[in-house]
Amino acid sequence: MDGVGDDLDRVALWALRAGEVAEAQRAALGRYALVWWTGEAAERYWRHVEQRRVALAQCVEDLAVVADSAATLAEAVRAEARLLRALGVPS
Amino acid sequence: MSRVGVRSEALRTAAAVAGRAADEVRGAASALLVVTTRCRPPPTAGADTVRLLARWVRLQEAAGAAAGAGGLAGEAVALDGLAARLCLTARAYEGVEAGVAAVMAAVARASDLAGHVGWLTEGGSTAQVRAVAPTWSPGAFDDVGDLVAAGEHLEGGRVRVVEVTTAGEGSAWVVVVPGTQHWSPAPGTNPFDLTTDIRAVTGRDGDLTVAAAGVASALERARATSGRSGDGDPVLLVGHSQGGILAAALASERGFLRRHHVTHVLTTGAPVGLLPVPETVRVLSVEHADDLVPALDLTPNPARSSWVTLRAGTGPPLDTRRHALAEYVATTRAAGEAPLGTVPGVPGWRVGAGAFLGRPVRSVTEVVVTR
Repeated sequence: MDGVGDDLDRVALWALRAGEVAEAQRAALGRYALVWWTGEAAERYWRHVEQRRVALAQCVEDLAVVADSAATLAEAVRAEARLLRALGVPS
Repeated sequence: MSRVGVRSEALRTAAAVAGRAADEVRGAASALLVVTTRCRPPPTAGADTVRLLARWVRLQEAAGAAAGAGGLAGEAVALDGLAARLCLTARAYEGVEAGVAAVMAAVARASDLAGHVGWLTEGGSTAQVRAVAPTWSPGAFDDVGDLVAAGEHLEGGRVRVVEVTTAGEGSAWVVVVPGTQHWSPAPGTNPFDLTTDIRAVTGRDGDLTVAAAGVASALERARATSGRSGDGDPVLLVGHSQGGILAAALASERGFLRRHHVTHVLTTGAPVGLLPVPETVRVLSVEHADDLVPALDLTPNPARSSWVTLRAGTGPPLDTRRHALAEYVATTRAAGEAPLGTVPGVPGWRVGAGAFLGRPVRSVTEVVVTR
């Protein structure tokens, strides 16, 4: 059952990494959203960039939840394995 | 990067950023989906098996949703879409920018051609400056609207230089530049004319018009006469219409900037988007949306922290009355009196211009510039 715990740890790790990537790209888009001119076209551009930044922020939140759930489940699976070992039940 | 091509280049850079973001996000989504797919379920051995399996299934669903088409992978597609859209917009701007460059070149060629018959040419003339009695009654510039209103009654090629006392008892200088006063293509003695309009917008870097040279002489004469002038005295250039173009042109001219510490420029109803004013100078440009003149350069003003553009009103640029100085005085006064936070950028510009606003006037110098 420890193998399953390791699998779940990997899910947690990659979910965290994905969240970091999404956050870094969200910040990069914010930096380059400072365009040089004003006007209708610039405002439209800012709106599009802002939509993507909001969507990326949502992804970051969702991935954090996944990472947390995976880590918690990995711990629960390991606890179950320890209990089974203590009871002498083959897993 | 030329000033005309700056929008398409900025858009291409932004498109590259969005494209890179799409690739990075897609890679992260793909990696997460792989480890999620390979994650084995808990064995069905213990008493808690059902509960653990249910949690594992929920995790699979959540990870799939976060990394899949409805989450990160979908976001990668959306970022690709943004990059593609930005590339298309950049291409459209390249067309517009090529058009603007061609129009400017054509106007310059046409004015050179007109120069053969003595029109729209300054023909090697120089600026002559003659001191006259000031017509403006001294009073502090209490707000931005007062700076704009100082442009009233500058007929006959008159330039006004106002010396104010700074908090440290030094001097700060407000230079008020008039707008176009003669519309004939034949250049006359008053350099604030159509010839200067054309030459100021199409001229090469470093080429000052006679009118701009006259404004520079007016400031230099005022500083010399005062006897209190210091090297680091802040200078604010303010102008309406052509006066705004000349103010921004002087603030872009290296020789003038070496001689004078220009900290602020205030333009009203002026097409100044093509003038390369350095970022160290804080610019406030006031434009009426229904005034055609500020749009004549076909180029929007820079959107940077040191350049505030206050665009007032709506509607197509059709109403010639909206170009009048009095209309701009009213607009800037209204902006100055507006509650804090309702007119973005102006309060910050006003705070930065504290050396000029609300300070006692020390002297007023007026000169008439002739060609």
